[in-house]
Amino acid sequence: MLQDHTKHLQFRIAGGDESALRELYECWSGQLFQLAMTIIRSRPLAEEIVEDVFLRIWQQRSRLEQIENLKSYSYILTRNISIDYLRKTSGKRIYNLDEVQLPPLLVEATPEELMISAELLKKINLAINDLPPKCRLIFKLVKMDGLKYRDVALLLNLQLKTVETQMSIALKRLHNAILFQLPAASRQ
Amino acid sequence: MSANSIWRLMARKDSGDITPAERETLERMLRENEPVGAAHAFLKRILGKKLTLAEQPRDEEAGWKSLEQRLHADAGPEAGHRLRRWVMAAAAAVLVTTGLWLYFSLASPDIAKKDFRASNEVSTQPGSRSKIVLPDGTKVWLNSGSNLSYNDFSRTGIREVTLKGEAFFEVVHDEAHPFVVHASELEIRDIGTAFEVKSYPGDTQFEATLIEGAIEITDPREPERKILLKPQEKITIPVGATLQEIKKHPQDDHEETTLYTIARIKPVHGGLFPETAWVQNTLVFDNEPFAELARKMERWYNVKISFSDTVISQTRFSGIIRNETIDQAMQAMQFSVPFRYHMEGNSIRISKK
Repeated sequence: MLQDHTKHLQFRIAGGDESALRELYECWSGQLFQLAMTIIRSRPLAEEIVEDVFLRIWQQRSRLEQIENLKSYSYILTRNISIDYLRKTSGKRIYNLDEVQLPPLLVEATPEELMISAELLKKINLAINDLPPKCRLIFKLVKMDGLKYRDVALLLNLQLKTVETQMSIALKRLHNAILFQLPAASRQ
Repeated sequence: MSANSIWRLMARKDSGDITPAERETLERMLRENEPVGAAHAFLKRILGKKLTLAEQPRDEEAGWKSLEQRLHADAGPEAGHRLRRWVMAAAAAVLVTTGLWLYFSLASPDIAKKDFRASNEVSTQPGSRSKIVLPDGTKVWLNSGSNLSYNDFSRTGIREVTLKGEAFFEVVHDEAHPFVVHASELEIRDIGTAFEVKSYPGDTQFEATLIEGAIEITDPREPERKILLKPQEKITIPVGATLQEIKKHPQDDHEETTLYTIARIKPVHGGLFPETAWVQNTLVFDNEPFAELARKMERWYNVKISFSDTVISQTRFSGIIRNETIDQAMQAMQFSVPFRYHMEGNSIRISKK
C-alpha cells in the first residue's frame, strides 16, 4: 500500500473511523498472517494473532498519530504477539530463522505477460524457492511485502549488514539461475 | 563474499543505501560483464512484478467479522462518537450570484472511438459502486453509473482502458507497459500512481485528481502537448476543448470557454478528499452549491432531483454522507437550511420553505 495512503488511514483510525481500520485490515492482514504463520505454524492461532494486532492498533488509536512507521510497527507487534503465543503453547521462546517455513513464493505474472518462455519463468521461481529459509524470508519481506532493509533488520533482530548480505546471496543465486538463458531480445 | 562484490553492490542499490561512487562501480561492472548485465536488466523487470505466496487461501471476511465483534466488545465509553456520522458544517446560506457556478454549456461531442479491441467490460448501475482488480493487478474502484472497458492485457501486452464515468485507479507500475486511461477525448498515462478520473457522458467537464505518483494527460490529436500533474492536484478541462487551445485560467474572464485549471485538493472533515472519498463509500462535499451536490446525490442514490427555486439550488452545503438513506440525508440538510422536498418514486422536487 502507498505510504501516503497509510498515513491517511492512520489519521482516520486515530479519529475513530472504523471503516479505515477495516481497510487497513484488508491491506495488511494477509501479510501479517504469513509472518505469524512462520512463527506459530497454526492457522487458527495465526488468525487470532492478526486480530490481536488490529485490536491493539484500535485500542491505541488516540496515540496512533505518534507512530512514525505504522507498517513496520504492525510487523513488530505481530512478531511479539506471536512469540508470546509460542511461549505459552510450547514453552519455547526462540524463533529460529534458519528453520522458518514459508510456502512457495511465486512471480504472479504469466509467461505471456512477461514475454518470456514458461521454462525461464519456472527457472526463476525454482531459484527463489531454492534459497535457504532465512534468505527466502528476507527476500519475501523485501520484495513481496515491500519492507525496507532496515525494517527487516529491526523485525528479525539482525544487523542491517546481515540483511544486505542475505539479499546479495539471493540476487547472486537468481542471476546465476538465468545467466546465459536469456533470449537474444532481452539481452539488448 | 568480498566487501564490494557485484551482488553486494546490487543489494546496496536495492536498499537505497548505495553511494554515488559505489553506483558508478556497479554500473561499470554491469557494462563489462555482458551476461550479468543482461540478467540484471531482465530480473529487474521480473521482480518488479507482484510476488505471491502459494498458501491455502484465508477467509478474510470471517477474520474481519471476528475482529469486529471484539472491537465492539471492547468499545466501552468511546463508542458514542460513531453515532454522529453527519457533519453538517457551516452550511450558512451563502448565496451565490448566478454565473459564477454556471456550467460551461458546451455540447458534448461523441466519445472518440479508440482503435484497440476492448474485450472486457464492467459497469455499475446508478446507486451502486464496485471494486475490480484488472489482469495486471491494478485496482479500480468504479463509481455509480460508470463503465470501464479493457483489453486482454496478457495477450496484447498493452494496458489500456476506456472509462465513461468516474473511477479511482491504483496502478501497478510497469515501465515497459504504461497504463493508459482513455476518457472524454483525452489520455491519462500513469507514471506510478493512484489517481481518480471523472468523465461521465453528458458532463461538461473532465476531471482528473492525482493522489500519489505522477500522471500525464495528452490529447491524441496533439500528442506532443502534455500536462504533467503533481500529487494532490486536480485538473479540470471543459469537454471538447483540445489541449492546444487550452490556456491558463484567466482570473476574472469566465466567458473563456477553452480553459483548464489545476488546483490543489484540500482534505475536509477527517482528512477525506471530496474527490476520492467515494472510494471509501463516503460522499463528501465541501461548500458545494446544492445544484452540484444534487448531481452527485442523483448518482449516489439513483434518483432524479429538480429544483423549483434557484435560491435554494445555489445554497452551499458541507457534509459527509455514509450510510444514510436519501430521506435521512435530506432531513439532515434541512437542519442547516430550511427547504421542502417532495419525493415521488425516484423523483425528488425541492422547493422553498
